[in-house]
Amino acid sequence: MDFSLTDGERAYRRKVRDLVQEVSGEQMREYWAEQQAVGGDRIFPWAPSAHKLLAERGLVGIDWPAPWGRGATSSENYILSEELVGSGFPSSPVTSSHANVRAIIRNGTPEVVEEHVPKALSGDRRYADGLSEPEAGSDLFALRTTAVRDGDEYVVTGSKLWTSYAHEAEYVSALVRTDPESTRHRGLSMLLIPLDAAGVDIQPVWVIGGWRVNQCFFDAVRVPVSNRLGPENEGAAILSAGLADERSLSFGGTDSRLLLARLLHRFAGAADDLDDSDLEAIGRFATRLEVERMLNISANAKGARGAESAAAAGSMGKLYGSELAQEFAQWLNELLPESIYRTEWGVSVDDQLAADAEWFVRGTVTMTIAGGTSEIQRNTIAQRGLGLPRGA
Amino acid sequence: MFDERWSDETREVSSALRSLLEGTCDEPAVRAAESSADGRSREVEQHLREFGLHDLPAEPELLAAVSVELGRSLAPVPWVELTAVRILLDVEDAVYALESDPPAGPGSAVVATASGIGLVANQGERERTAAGDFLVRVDRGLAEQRWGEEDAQKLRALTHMLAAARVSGAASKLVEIGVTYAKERQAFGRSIGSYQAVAHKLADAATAAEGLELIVKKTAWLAARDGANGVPQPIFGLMTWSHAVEVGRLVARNVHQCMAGFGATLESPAQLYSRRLRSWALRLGRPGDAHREIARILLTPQRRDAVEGLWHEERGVTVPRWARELDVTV
Ligand SMILES: Cc1cc2nc3c(=O)[nH]c(=O)nc-3n(C[C@H](O)[C@H](O)[C@H](O)COP(=O)(O)OP(=O)(O)OC[C@H]3O[C@@H](n4cnc5c(N)ncnc54)[C@H](O)[C@@H]3O)c2cc1C
Repeated sequence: MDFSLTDGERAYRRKVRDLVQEVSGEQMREYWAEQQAVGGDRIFPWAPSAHKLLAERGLVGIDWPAPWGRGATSSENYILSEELVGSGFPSSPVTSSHANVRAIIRNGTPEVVEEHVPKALSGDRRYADGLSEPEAGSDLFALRTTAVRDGDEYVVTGSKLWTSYAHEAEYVSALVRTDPESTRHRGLSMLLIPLDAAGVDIQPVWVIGGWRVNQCFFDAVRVPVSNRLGPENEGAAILSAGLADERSLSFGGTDSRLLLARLLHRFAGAADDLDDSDLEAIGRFATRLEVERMLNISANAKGARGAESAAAAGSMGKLYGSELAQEFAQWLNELLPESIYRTEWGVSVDDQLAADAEWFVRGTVTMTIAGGTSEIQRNTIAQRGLGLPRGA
Repeated sequence: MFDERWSDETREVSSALRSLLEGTCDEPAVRAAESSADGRSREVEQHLREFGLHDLPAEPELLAAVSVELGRSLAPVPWVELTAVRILLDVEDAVYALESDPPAGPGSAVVATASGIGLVANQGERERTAAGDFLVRVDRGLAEQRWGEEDAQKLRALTHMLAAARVSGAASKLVEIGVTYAKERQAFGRSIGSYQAVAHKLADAATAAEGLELIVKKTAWLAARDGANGVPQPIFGLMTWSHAVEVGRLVARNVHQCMAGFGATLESPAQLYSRRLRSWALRLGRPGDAHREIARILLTPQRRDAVEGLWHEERGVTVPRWARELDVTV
């Protein structure tokens, strides 16, 4: 049993913390303004200049194999994400692009790797995830976007929905049907589609947190066959390897801990200003947020060992964290009732915590949905964790 | 690299103990104990003594893991109540009774006094509890103070962790009972476990039980670090215990619902578990009190800054520079 960090991990965490310490209040507001200007996401934030800064500090691609990265362990990856998200640093490129580039390194041709990875490392190239479609959300393998082979190219037709960051990224990593006769998970391939290609149309879809996701339409978009990752029709395996890497990411728990920490500092030395029910809520949330972290750490450890129980453990963390975050967000709004007046992005408000509490209550609505709904997580726990039979 | 599993040595002890308990503390043995005159099983007590449970070293991980196993099998012995007293106060045959009455059997009980804790003879009227054991209405006024507040706090914290570990074992086992039932029981031509309404309740129960075991492990792991002297920090004792109360209730509620009528019968093992989970939950105070105390620790800068290992923190609870600059304080 070991929840400690190795000396190397601790030194590395120090490096991340030092970076975060450099970010002043004013700088953070600049990051927010930058994101807001591009309809950026407040809950999975991605400010271009923050991405560049991470790249400069060597914090992009740490887990990619040499010579690109240094093959960091999954616990180091966990620490990086926890430190950045837990400090409010706009860091989604690290989690989103990391996974996509990892898939490129594992499955791309040498030319594709050479073309993509250096740009991703320097923070000049970003990737969106193109999985869901209008008729394929939870039931992802009902997806209909097709890629038909025509010589050295695929011709892609269809659409992807909810594609976060598509308007900010250069590529979408899309799961498409390459075998028209196939059904379900067979006959799918993972394709890197340049978002500036002819026939790509990106339309905004605004969601409750006040940010933008997208619908990407593909109208006979020609994509080189060499942009396919891995063998044809085996995209499902690439997808599941990628998902396995991401299992221990916290969905809302880390953000909640930051908000609660800020609340504790606001009321430092003033416990008597809070009534008993508020104190009870604080103690109970502090406890459950510890539990949430441990569920993720357990999923991380199981994943690193390749344990069969890793999938169910990841679902437990996601389910528990996202539902807890919603509950916490609602309570925080109740405690800071002024938050109802603070629906701005928080770039120039007088009570930043109240403003952040307000976006969190809206943003957490999507946390039990994106990345697999709570119901799908429960199915995974029941079937893969407890061995219960599938439904009819 | 994180590793959430008990260490190899602990697992060895746990699995030997589990085999022993499966052979000696099975369902009939638990039922026999609860219908006996004092709710105890001398036989199980004897086996555990011979196994060495009363001489275990003061290693928090080992103690927690043992407690988990005792909870799994609903061992009708006051080991949790005896152990922290033995280890921290160096008194044999005395049971913890700071918040509620002591279990019958051992010779004396540790109770709260005006500014610390003391011993009192474990004698008085005995009443059977919903957990099948008996608690003794001791005369707390007769206790003379022998130890101070600091010892009381340590005793509480270690007991909190062990009691939570016992709930964790019982809760995990109850989930297993519910899952086995859901796989076998048929309704409308299908196994009930294939209905999401049932499966999702069990998934929630399993998630809760897993989370509880993990916070017990974290508490034990922190208590084993240099400088902790094998005793959990009070805040971790409170968190672990108060969480155990909630988890025990949730697991009992969900598993009962999935097992429906059969689970509610006295023949079912489910009620053996759910009654104990409920009864144990009432013995160390109300979870709301624990939550308020956790909040007070975290809201008092000096106490907050002394907390080690909460969340991702080494010490205290910090906020990043930007938030310190932008946030207002009261
Ligand atoms: C803000 C946001 C960002 C997103 N970002 C991305 C992205 O970048 N890339 C991407 O590919 N996708 C993204 N998604 C899509 C996300 O993964 C899907 O929304 C999600 O998988 C659910 O699909 P759906 O919305 O079509 O809902 P549906 O699948 O239609 O679900 C509707 C309801 O039915 C329930 N349901 C469905 N199937 C079952 C079942 N078998 N058992 C029980 N209940 C079931 C669901 O749980 C849900 O409650 C994003 C979504 C949001 C909201």
